[in-house]
Amino acid sequence: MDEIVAEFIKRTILKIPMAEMMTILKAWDFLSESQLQTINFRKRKESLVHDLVMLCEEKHANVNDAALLDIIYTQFHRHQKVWDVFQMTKEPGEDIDLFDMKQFKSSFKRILQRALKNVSVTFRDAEENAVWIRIAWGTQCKKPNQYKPTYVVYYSQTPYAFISSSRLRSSIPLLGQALTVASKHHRIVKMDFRSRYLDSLKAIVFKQYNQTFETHNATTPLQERNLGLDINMDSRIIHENIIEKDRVQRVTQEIFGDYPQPRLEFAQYKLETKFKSDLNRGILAERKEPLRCLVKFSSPNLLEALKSLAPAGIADAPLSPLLTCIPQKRMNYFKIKDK
Amino acid sequence: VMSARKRVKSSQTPRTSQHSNSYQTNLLAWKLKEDLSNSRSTSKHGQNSPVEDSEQADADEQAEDALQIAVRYFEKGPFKTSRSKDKTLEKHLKTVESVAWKNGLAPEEIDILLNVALSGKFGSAVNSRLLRCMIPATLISEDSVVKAVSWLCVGKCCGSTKVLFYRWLVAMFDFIDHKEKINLLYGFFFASLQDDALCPYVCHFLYLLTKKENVKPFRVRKLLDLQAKMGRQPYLHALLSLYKFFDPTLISVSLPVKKNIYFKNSENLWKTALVAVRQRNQEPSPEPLKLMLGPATVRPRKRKWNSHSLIPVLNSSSHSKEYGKKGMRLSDYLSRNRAFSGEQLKSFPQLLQNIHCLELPSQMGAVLNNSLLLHYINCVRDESLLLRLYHWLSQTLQEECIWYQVNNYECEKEFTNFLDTIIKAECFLQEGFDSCEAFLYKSLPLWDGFCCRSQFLQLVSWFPFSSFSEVKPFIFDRLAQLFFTSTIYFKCSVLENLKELLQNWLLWLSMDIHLKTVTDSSLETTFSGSMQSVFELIHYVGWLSTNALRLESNSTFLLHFVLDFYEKKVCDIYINYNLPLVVLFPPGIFYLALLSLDSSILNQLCYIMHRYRNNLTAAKKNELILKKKSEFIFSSKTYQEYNHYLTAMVGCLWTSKPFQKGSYFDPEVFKMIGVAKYKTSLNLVHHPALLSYAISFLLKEYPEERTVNVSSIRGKKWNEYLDYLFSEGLQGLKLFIRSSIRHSSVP
Amino acid sequence: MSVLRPQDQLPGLNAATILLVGKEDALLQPLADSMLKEDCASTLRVHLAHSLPLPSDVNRPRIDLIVFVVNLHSKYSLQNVEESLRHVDATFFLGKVGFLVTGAGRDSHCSVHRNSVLKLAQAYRSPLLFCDLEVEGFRVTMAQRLVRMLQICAGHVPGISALNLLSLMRSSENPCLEDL
Repeated sequence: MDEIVAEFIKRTILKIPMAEMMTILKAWDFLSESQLQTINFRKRKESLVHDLVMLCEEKHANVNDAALLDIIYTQFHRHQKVWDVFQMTKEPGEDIDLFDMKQFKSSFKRILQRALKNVSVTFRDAEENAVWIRIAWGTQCKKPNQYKPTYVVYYSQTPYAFISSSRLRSSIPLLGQALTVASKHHRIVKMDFRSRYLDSLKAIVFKQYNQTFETHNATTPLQERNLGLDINMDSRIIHENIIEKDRVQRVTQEIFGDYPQPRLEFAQYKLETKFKSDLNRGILAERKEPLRCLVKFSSPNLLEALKSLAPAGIADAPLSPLLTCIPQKRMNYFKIKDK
Repeated sequence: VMSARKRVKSSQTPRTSQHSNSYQTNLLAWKLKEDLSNSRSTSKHGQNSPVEDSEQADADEQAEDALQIAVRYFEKGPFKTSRSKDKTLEKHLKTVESVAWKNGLAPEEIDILLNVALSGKFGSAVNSRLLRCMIPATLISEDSVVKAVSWLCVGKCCGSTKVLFYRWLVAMFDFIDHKEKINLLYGFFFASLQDDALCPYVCHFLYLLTKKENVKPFRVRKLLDLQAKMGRQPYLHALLSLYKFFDPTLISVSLPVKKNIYFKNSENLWKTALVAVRQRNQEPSPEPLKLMLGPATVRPRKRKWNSHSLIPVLNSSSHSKEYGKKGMRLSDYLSRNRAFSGEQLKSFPQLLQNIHCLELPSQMGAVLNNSLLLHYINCVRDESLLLRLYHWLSQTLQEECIWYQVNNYECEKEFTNFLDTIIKAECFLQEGFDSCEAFLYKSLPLWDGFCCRSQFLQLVSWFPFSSFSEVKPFIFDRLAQLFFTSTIYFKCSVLENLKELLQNWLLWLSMDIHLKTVTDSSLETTFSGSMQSVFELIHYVGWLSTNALRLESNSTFLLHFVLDFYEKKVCDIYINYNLPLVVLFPPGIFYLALLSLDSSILNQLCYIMHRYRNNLTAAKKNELILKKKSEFIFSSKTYQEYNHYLTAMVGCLWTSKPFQKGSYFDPEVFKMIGVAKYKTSLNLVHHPALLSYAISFLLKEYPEERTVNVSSIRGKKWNEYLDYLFSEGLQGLKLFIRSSIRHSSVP
Repeated sequence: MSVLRPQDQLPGLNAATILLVGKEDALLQPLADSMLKEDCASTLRVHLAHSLPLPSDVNRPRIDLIVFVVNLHSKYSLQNVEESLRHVDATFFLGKVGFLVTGAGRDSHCSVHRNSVLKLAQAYRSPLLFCDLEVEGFRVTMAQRLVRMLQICAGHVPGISALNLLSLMRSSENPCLEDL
């Protein structure tokens, strides 16, 4: 085991919080149960790391093993990355080939290696036919940099891939090419859709979050909820706008459904519109140029926040479709122009 | 020493006149630092239980070493080979940041790193990160600041770094040990005002730094020019009004008396750090200090919520510098010490002996807790000291006030204590603080009338004397709104505190008359203006009281508080305070008290009437002697009114001819409602408040009697009955009857 | 739709009814609860409405006091109140209307300036009360004050009327905070 791998393992383990150490090491499944038992986990982290690296050395860990550990760490801390969604398309009339995971992996790797020579690609299969791919980039004459990798999560037999944003923009076209070819697609497009919450992105892209909604009778839960509210309330408090309130509830429910919303943390609207006014006055009216402005909504849970706007009385129901179309359109970056 | 020498070679201090000796101080500081760190670790072991903390101490020592390395790294500057540069730089930066935010940096470390940050050796991102973590462990040495400022002249740092530096200066102002040398650079700072981006921050800094001698005509002109150019910016306004305060004659332009906050809380970058520094400075003094000052300084461990009380503990600079030098003996200490620091001050004689060389704490808030220093501040009347104190006060009040911190209202206790301390200081000085006045203006509309009620109302009672009609809309109207919608207890406490307020105003005015100094020209109060103000205040309280009694259905409890106001303060203004003012109570209160069912109320009323009589006769006498009449204060109306009340009282209680002159009641009405003997029904015997006395009087005379006829009390018996009433403690009644009723007229 | 009038109906026996108008139920509901917890001789009723006019097809008791709740953090809330005010009969403004402003404590969150509410209250000659309803302690004190006002407006305090209270509360025209 060379020094670079040792350093790589050491740094990766250092990142892992103590509370998760055991779980992650077990998931890694590189060190055996009995080996792990020889280690005192109550020691200071520095010496613990030292011991673990020694064990790895004994087992001759290679870069691939280390990269797997890094993937597992990232799987646990996926919300620390910002994920972009990419959509791939096939030529109309193209055959639906059977998907072979092995073939996908090897052709993916081959394409990258052919182009760059120095690149390390690591795969790890995950639940729901997903595969996590870690790519550490190098160049023709430079060894791969293990500390600025790109992660790709690809759900096999779907046209979607999720790629962690990184500063290495130049590598994205190559990555796209490798993905399309390996998964036998024709084109790949970056969607205007990104978030920290990979699972929420996935749920929206695959329309998984509100599935039971269609089959459910929308009126029953609403009435039940209202009844519940009335019982809790003092009879001396009278809501004058109870009908309006019901309407707001209903409209909100129609738009957002009954279930918890997937988490997104921002939405951004770029406005490039001309100024319009009934009164033809003022300096703005004569302006030929469109007005440019950027509106950014952010919240720990944007969709839940939007959902509660109208019931909380902060906005009128129904909300502007621009706000509510995020899950349907599967985008949270918008450009609005005069139409 | 080797490393230190190397360091000296590599450091490139810009040449300015102030720093010819900076090499030497650097070296010295370095040595001192090593001593300090030794002693620090030993004292730590001494204080804590050794078993539990030894590991912690180890970790701390390691961090310390890493810090040393980091500091040296920064000092040497970046290496040419850029490959490993980023990583090392990052590592060292992180070390500095973590130590700074955890323990703060020693003065020498700040000295070095501040130099690095402003010298532009590294990129501006690094500079700003360094500046952000310039958090002192305890203090910052003045020399470091002066050196840093000299870098600003060289022009190696970009605008944003400069801005950040000034914000840092403002935030850390209280932690800089001296300001004399910095003040010498006043001209430089002032010149920086021309930079638009810097202007607000420089203004804030100058606001803190300005002393009277800094105010010069050419500076005023420059400021006015700036204001003309940039519009009425609050920061320029602040500085101008400060100048005007120091030298009113220089600035003829009238500045509106704005009471809002001039500066935004620019220091919030360091807010948490500042709390930590304050906390650190507050920790019990380490061992050597105790020895020097004797056992008196051992401070009892404070309770938890008090452990980071808002008020800093006395800590003046020279002192803490001294104790770092180990092995200095007490005699050395005392003999070489020219400035006498606040912590040493223990008694009033000491204050008198050292008043010429007393050094005030670097954090002005600390004086609030020290009565001797309050004395000092009060008698030296150094405006810059007061301004620093006020500035600190307003900032703290604004930041800590709980109704501005919706998320943080559990710290109510702390804020209450803080207010208590302020009030104590105000009581001690017998004077309100300007900053509290401003605070009241701003926060009274938002006050709910409940939290910190007693403190808040006490602040009102220390409201400085001012023109009543001017402050009425901001203070008293808002108070009235709360008053009318709140509980009776709130009403009582408001009345109680307005009584205090009246007393404070009266005292202030009576002092003023004796000294014959109407000093405060800004108030531009003539004497009759002041009297008018007091008159309006009393009138206002009368208005409040009358309506409060209506709202609370004539509650006796409330009436007591109302009469108390008149009894203790209002009726005796002429005699007690020697001010030519007599204000009577409004009829709504008088008749309510006269017809009250409670004998003590009636008694109180009699006493007040008696005192009014004394005051009015004394005033009349003086008028006759001096042959001069202060027309407004003693209009004949006052006498008429008094006589009117007196007639009503005598008519009711004594002669049994009630309400004849005023003809308030048509006798027919009494006939209609079946009160035939209405004439006697309010006299001393039949008055509902006294009827029980009359009965017990008769029962005492004739214990056997089954039926008592109270109407039998007249003639000689009337006099006996009077004596009986007096013996039951109705002293007010006694005084009233003795003074106002001639005895021949027994009914 | 209909304009709300104070004298449309006879008063109920010992009943005092307040109408709280504001968009945010999360603020109004706890305030209503706190009011009902107050110890009070009158029979209290609290009506909550998002905006005026009220639905016309309902029987409701006579309303003795209307309180408009403005949240300084939301322009929408001020707008809503301004629009609702048009549906209130002028006689209500003889002491039976109040403005309650919440959110003034957190300056940084405010999107409505305090002066605009001040002007609104001045224009309608009605008292303006400040209270951060989110904080329980403040809310309870405010509930207490509102109940007292309500009792007077309902005529349950002998010797003092709504108009009377108004003239006590509305001291000399309040100057703007700017002039402070």
